[in-house]
Amino acid sequence: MSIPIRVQQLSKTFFDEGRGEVHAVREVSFECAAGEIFGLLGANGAGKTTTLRILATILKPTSGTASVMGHDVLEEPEAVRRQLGFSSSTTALYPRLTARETLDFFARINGCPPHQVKARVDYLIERFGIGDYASARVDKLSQGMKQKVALARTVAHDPPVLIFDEPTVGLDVLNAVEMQKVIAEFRAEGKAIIFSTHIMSEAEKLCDRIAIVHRGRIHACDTLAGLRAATGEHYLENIFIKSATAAAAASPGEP
Amino acid sequence: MNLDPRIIGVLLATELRMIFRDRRILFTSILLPILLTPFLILISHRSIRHYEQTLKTSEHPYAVAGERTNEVRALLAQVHERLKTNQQAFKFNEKTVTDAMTSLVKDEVHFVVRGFTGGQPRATNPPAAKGVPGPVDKPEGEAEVAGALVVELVFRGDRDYSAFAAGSMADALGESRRLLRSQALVQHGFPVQVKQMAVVENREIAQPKAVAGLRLGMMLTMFLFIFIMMGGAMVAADSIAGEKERGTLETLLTTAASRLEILTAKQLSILVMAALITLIQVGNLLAFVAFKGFPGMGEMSGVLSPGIVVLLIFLCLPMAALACSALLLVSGWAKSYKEAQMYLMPMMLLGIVPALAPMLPGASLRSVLVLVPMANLAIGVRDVLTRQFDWPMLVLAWVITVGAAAWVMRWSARFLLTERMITAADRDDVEAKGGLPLFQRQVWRWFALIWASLLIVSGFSEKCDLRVQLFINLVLIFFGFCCLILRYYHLPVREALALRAPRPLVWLGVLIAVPAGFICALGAFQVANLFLPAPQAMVEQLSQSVFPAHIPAWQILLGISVMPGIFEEITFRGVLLHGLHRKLHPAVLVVVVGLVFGIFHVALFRFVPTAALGMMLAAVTLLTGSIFPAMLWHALSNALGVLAYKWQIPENGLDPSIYLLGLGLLAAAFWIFWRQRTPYPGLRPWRRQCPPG
Ligand SMILES: Nc1ncnc2c1ncn2[C@@H]1O[C@H](COP(=O)(O)OP(=O)(O)OP(=O)(O)O)[C@@H](O)[C@H]1O
Ligand SMILES: [Mg+2]
Repeated sequence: MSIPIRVQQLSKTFFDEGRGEVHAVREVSFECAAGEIFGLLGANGAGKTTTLRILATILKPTSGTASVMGHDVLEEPEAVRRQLGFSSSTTALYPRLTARETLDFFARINGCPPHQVKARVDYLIERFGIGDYASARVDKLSQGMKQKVALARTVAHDPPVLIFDEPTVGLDVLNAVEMQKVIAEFRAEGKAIIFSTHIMSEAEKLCDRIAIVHRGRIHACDTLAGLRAATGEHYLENIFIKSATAAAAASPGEP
Repeated sequence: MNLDPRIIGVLLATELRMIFRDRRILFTSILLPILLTPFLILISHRSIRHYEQTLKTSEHPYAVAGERTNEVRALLAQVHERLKTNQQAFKFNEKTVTDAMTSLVKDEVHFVVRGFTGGQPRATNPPAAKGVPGPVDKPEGEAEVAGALVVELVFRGDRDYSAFAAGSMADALGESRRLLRSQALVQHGFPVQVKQMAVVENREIAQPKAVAGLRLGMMLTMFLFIFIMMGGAMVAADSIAGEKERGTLETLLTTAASRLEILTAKQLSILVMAALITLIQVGNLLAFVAFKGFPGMGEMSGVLSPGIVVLLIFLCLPMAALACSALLLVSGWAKSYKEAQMYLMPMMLLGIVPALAPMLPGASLRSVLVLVPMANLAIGVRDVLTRQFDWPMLVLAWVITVGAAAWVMRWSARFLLTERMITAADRDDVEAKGGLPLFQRQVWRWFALIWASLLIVSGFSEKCDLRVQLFINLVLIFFGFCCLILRYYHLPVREALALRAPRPLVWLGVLIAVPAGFICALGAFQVANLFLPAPQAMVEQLSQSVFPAHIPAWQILLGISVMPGIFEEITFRGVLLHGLHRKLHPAVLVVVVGLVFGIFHVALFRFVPTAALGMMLAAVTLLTGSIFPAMLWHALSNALGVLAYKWQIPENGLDPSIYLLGLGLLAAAFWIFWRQRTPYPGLRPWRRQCPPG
């Protein structure tokens, strides 16, 4: 079986009117297996979102390759997207659809066979506890309710690969914890999950392996225990700061 | 990219569901247009009045016929004399023709004035020529008086200028008659039977149906366009720009639906809304007709037979598609809903201009207008409604507008692909880096610009000396733009223009190819002539303007052979070919470069031979990787054309065996090119290469 997510030497350079060339991602490589949560931990502007967008085929890499379930992001973007669910704080729901219509739409459009759609939607409504407001329009729902619908829509077609880009941004503690719980459940179901965050505790709690991203590069990539052993620090926060400063010292020229 | 109808169906259904839940859209797209229609009708009435004004100020040719032409001419001379002082008055002048009625049918004159002797039998029927509707009853008018001059005005009611000119002439003649009467009274001192002087009567040879068709035809496209804009604009703004703003576009783009499916569904949703609006508005319009009675709309039912309606729908579809694609493009371009709305208003005003083309007096499909998308079909719709079926031109117009719609759609697809869709970047890497990749993307824009410049400049330089014209076109426009492009994209000149030495034997091939290619292009012209007869008058006029007698032969050879050989080759086989060579498969590349070359030789009947020559030149450039053989070939071929004209070699009706010989020689020349080939670098492979393993 092919590795669910495989990223090799991926780079992305933006050209910005004001800043000129922006190297958002530089030669990033990692893999993520089924039943694993792989964390991208980095500060603002580290290049997490850019990496994940390339995986979701919204952006094209400047160089390097990435594949999802053996499909290359450049060669077969549609096949890649059929295999993944993508959720981020910027992917919104259609305000004028009801929760049920939303799930129905995303299941169909992602290639769920038409005769299975109804059963799948019913299952999702049941599982995420959306039943009470399934026929209300999304724009009338509270933030927490929306969050549940968004999670259900991400897995509407039961994809083997899930990508979460800072999913807990803007949620209160209860909802954030709920979200972490659900993501852990997805792992138990055997999905390959990439999870990006800038919150140390979240990464510590949830991720099987953590990549520390700084200015577009991965500076360390291991299990928490491995990172601790390598740096001699216990807290992830200190581990992060240590590898970030070490990186800055190593390549002072890079912006 | 795949297009799954089921996915498109799901997308479209959801899109429509959301549209109908948006009060903002329902108000602006459905309610507002219904309220605005009466206002629009008022405006269109006004613009028709303006158009009549235009007719009044142009000069109308006419012919004189009948038995008493001298008296008619005398009468007309009086009218002329009287109107001369009046600047505002209707202008007309006589044209001598062999057969007045045939000329009327051929549109050479706007009306015919016939003089008869009253009370005597005469041929009332116009000749049963093609295109002229059957006889019309003599209108009730003044009784004829035996022996007196009867002036009959013959015109075509399905031609705006014809009907107008005849009407004005009738008025002018009537006025003159009144003056004559008072003069006669004064001179003779006793009453004269006025009616013995002249009786003026009007005869229209078009059926009322055609007249109603003309009225409808002039407005139909404009109404269609306005309805599409009204119905589609909000939907379009909401559909990409709105989604971008709300953040749902990123969600949509991460689903398995392909970009093309998304775009198609969005396009269809705009079309559905536009169709809905059009239906509502047609109902609205019919209600108006029923209540108030539109002038001349009574015969509408006669105009619209089922066959015509189907044809009209067929003609309107590409226009609708083009308008919707343009709307979508604007929406993709804008970053937010507000921004999209801001662009849509000026676009609507701009877009309506081509839809007004049928209102231009005398606008016809057999002119450059056939190359203007939207305008060409608008004229086509008018022609169909007046029962003029110019099939080859209708097909050409249709194809051009469909092509434009497809092109705009592809353009908007690119907006979904580029990064500016969801991120803040304004330019993607191709745009920032420039060079050949960017030129490849923008090559069509440049050539559209060059084409437009040629067209505009030729409008001014028409009256100049041939040498000045050639200098402007070849050096200033062609060469000037080429230099500009080379500089702008920093293209290496040697590569961009393929300035490489070919193998020596290639020159021999060129020498064989010149006469062979010339004969083959003539053959292509003959074949094309079967489908699209070139007007003989135009051919003659062209040769006159190309070879005026007073210019020395060497200058003609320089201007017609050497200079085009250099500058046109630099433009088409140099810059254009370079801009396209990585984008298109070599075979397609040859055809496209040839077609563009043909289009640039504006006159329609020259299209086929020049396109044929253009393809051969592109092929030889690709095979030899050098522009020089094409330059030599082009120059010699043009020189051959000049000589053929000088020696009066008949260009048509050559013996079939000669064409065969030409074809054979051409094949031989290309065999040489093939054997001696040093292909153009960087071309796409002929076949898709299989990945190794
Ligand atoms: N379209 C773009 N044009 C120019 N620069 C961009 C573009 N998108 C991202 N960048 C830049 O690339 C870098 C990485 O951005 P990215 O959004 O991937 O970071 P991130 O790790 O997701 O940060 P955050 O925590 O803020 O979400 C930043 O410097 C950003 O400004
Ligand atoms: Mg981010």
